[in-house]
Amino acid sequence: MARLRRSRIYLPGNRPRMIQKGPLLGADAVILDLEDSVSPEQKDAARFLVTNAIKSLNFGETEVMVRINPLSTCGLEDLAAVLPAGPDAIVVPKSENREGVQTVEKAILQSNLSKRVAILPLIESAKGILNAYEIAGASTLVEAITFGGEDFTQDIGATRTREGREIFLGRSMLVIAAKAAGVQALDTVFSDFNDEEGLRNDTLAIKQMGFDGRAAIHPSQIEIIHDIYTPTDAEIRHAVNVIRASEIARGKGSGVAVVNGKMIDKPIIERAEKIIRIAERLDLPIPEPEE
Amino acid sequence: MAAPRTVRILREAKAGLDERGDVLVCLSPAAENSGIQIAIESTLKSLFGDQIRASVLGVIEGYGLKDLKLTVRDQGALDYAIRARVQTAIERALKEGE
Repeated sequence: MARLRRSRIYLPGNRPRMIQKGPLLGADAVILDLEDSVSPEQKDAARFLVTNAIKSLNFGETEVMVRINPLSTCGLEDLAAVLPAGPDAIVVPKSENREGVQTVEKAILQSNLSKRVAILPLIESAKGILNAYEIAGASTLVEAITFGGEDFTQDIGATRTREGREIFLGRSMLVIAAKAAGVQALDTVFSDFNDEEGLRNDTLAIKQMGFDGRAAIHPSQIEIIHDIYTPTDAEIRHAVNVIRASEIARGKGSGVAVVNGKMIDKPIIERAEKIIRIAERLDLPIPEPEE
Repeated sequence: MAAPRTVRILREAKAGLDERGDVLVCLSPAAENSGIQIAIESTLKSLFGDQIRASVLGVIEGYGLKDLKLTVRDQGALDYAIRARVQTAIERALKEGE
């Protein structure tokens, strides 16, 4: 099963105090950022800091991602610096085509690391969205494609709103491309970190759309995101009953099972299995099926 | 980090931010055979001064540098950050000296 990536929080790559808080924040992943949060004259300093942080700090179960700069600027220099430290994943901004992903794949493979380093293309332009399926399938190291809502909005000349109508189609296309390629779909940040209700509503909506998680820009957002992306007791109980009912039906040679008066078919069973996998990953209590 | 070699610092360079959890490193040239002169300013100097000095020296020696002055204004930085800032200052000094 793919890694759990409900939340991933951006941490500025040139701020030691924020980087070293990373392992304590409870997010599924931290993104040590070398791009937008680092000024051009500090790119060199951030590379050394992020590289040393990955080598020295114990991030525990937290996945360590590095967002490099675009390959058209100094992304390759970033890769050369950080790859020897062995991050878990590289976030590639401004991803617009297969070639960019393959350039990063080549750098990873040439670094001869003993561990796997995943590639997470960040798709944040009209062109990137139209090529999302090609990007998602460009390398076996791509484990998720991620959406950058702010840059995308600017690229298409739209106005960013709280409700996000302007990014609905882009988000939908990204989810469809990701699932067609068999990788995760991860959503953008919710920029107003004082608007908890807005974050909650938006995260509920993207979960319903098929996103597997989203980015955070403030530690206070992590708990809300996890709250929505963590299966409830009722969902787990229902999933257990669905799986049990399907097993009984299969034992009887029947393809159809019924739980709570509703027919259970293959997509529902698969959804139930996914819920149980997440619950197991999070060590949540899994009840016995009801007879 | 570069392989050990004898290199001289010819220009000043700085690295780090003047904020908590960070360290401001200022590197400047020194006369030949004057050695490595390190000055540490830290509210925690009595507790961690030796450790900071050892970290800084480790990086300097890795570059094979002989004569230089280095001041370290520490605001409670962890070892990885101190080492990163010293590396940055050295690389900047070497690059600017080319």
